[in-house]
Amino acid sequence: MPFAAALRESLQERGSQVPAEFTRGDSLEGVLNRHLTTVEEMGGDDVFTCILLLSPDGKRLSVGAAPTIPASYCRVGDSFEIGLTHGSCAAAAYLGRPVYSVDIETDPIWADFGDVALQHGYRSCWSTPIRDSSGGIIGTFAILHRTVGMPTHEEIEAIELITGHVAEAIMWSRRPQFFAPPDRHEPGVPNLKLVSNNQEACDPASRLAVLVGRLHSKAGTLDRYADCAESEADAQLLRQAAELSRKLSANILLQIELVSSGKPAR
Amino acid sequence: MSTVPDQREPTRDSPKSAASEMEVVAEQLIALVEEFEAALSEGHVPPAFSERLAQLRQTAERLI
Repeated sequence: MPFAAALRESLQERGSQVPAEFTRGDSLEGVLNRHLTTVEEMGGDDVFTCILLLSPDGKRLSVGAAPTIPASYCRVGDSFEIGLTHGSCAAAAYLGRPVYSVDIETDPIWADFGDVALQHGYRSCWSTPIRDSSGGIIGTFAILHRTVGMPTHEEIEAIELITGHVAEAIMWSRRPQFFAPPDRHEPGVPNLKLVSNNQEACDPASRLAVLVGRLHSKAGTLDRYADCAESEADAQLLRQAAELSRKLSANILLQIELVSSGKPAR
Repeated sequence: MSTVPDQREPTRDSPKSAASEMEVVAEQLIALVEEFEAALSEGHVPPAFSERLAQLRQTAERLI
C-alpha cells in the first residue's frame, strides 16, 4: 500500500477513536501524542514531530504535543512569540503558510533558536499552520529531521492530511458539542431513535452537529473507497465527493457558531 | 453606476435560506453515498453517481 494511503487509513482509525478518548477524560496532549506517534511510526527513524498551539491573542506559540522530542528542547521553546526569527513554526504562524526550512544552520528564520535545534541534532524543519473550520490559525504542525532537505510532493500531501486530522482533534477538544459520533448505521437496519433525537429536532445547533458528524464520517468512507478505486478517474471523483463533504461540514460548523451566538440559522 | 446584484448576494442577504439549502445539499450528498455504497465499496463509480455528484457540487459552489 502506498505511504499516503496507509497513512490516511491509520489516521482515520486514530480519528475515529478521538471522541471516545476525550469522553473518557484524556487530555488534548495525550490525544495529539497518539496522532504524532502514529505518524512517526510510519515515517521512519528520521521523523520527529511536534504540535505547537497558538495563544488566544494569536501572538505566542506553546508546545501542545511532541512525543519524541527531548524535554530539554521543548522547554526552550515552551512559549515564544511568533515572528520571522524564532524558527519555522513561529514563521509559519506569523505568515499563515507552510515554512520549510531546508537547513536550520543557514536559514535566517532560525536566527534565534537555530543553535539549540542544532545542539539537539535537528537540521531541517517543515512547519505548517493548523487551521480551524473557519480558517483561523490555531497552531502549527512540524516535522524535524536530522538531515537537510525539502519535502517531496507526497510528503507535502501527507503533511496536509496530518494537519487536517490534528485540527479536527483540537477543535473536538474545544467544542465537543459540535461533533457527533461517527455514523455506524448499517444499511438495512433501521436507526434506533434515541431520546436525544428529540432534542435534535427542536435544537438547530444539535441537529446541525449531527449532520456535521455524518458528513465527517462519509468523507472518511469516501477517502477509503478512493484508495481502492478501479481507476484514477474514479478515485478522483470519490476524493472530490470527500472534499465536498468536508467543505459542507466546515460551512455548517460556521452556521452552528451563528446559532450558538444567538443568530438562528433557520 | 451598475446596481446589478452579485450572484452570491442572496446568500449574504438570506442566511436562513442559505443555511437551509446547505443542509439539504449535505443530506443529499449523504443519501447519494449511501445509495451507491455497494458499488463504491468495490471501487466502481456508477455514471449516475458522477452526474448527481456534479449537480451537488454545482449547487454547493453557489452556497459556499
